[in-house]
Amino acid sequence: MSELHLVLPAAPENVVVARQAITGLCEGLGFPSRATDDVRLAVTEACTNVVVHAYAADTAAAQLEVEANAVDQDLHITVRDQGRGMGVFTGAAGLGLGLPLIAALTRAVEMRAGPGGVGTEIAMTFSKDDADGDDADGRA
Amino acid sequence: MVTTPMAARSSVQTAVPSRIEVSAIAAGPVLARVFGIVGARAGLSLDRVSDLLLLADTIADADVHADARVTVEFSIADGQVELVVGPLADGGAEALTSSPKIGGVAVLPRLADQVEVLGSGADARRVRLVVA
Repeated sequence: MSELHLVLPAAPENVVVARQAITGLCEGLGFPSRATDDVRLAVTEACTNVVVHAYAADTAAAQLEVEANAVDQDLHITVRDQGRGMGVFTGAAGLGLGLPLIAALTRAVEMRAGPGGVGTEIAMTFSKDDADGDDADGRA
Repeated sequence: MVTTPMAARSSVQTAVPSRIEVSAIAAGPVLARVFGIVGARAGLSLDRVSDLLLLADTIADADVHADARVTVEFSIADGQVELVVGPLADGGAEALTSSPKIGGVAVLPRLADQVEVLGSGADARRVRLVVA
């Protein structure tokens, strides 16, 4: 059973809700601040991808889903949509930096079709151990 | 059904309710952060956002949740935040609305404009709160 399961309308204003929920989860799980920063940024990018790319503009029930599981020192987070799936050009292409950024921030990342082949999910793994040197720059 | 009306208001309605389910160990910080941003987006005053944060702590700390998981649906409309807490354990709805007390006064009815137990008897497993 997951530590956190969040379901939101896939709207721009809800990206910050997801980010705040994940930040609270990291606090609750005792994640170091530097690792938490990485988690926040990666989840924000993944959620923004859902909002911008996953659904046609007139989709009424566009949904953003975030699920998090803690296993030992690792935190597994999946950001999921029920949209048009991978490979569909939305006409809203960005700079193409989102996924490389996520890859740089995570220990492991996988992008795949969602359950039942519906939509897309991006599965990210973070580790407390990736926070070497945490607080060396004075961050609490 | 137990209702504590503070003022006559229309029910808060949105097309897609948002839902958060979190394990008890992380419920406090998660709910506080989410309620804070939701209250701010609803345009609540700073005092009412503070009340929402107290509600988050009260809900997270209460030993009333089914399967040790805190579940809240939330929505914003007309400057109000509506929260539906549950499913709760047996007797959890009554305990949540009446037991957490400060100075002998139940906390939830003091912080929320509306407190309503949804369902009755054994089916009373959810509590609806409105903060405006």
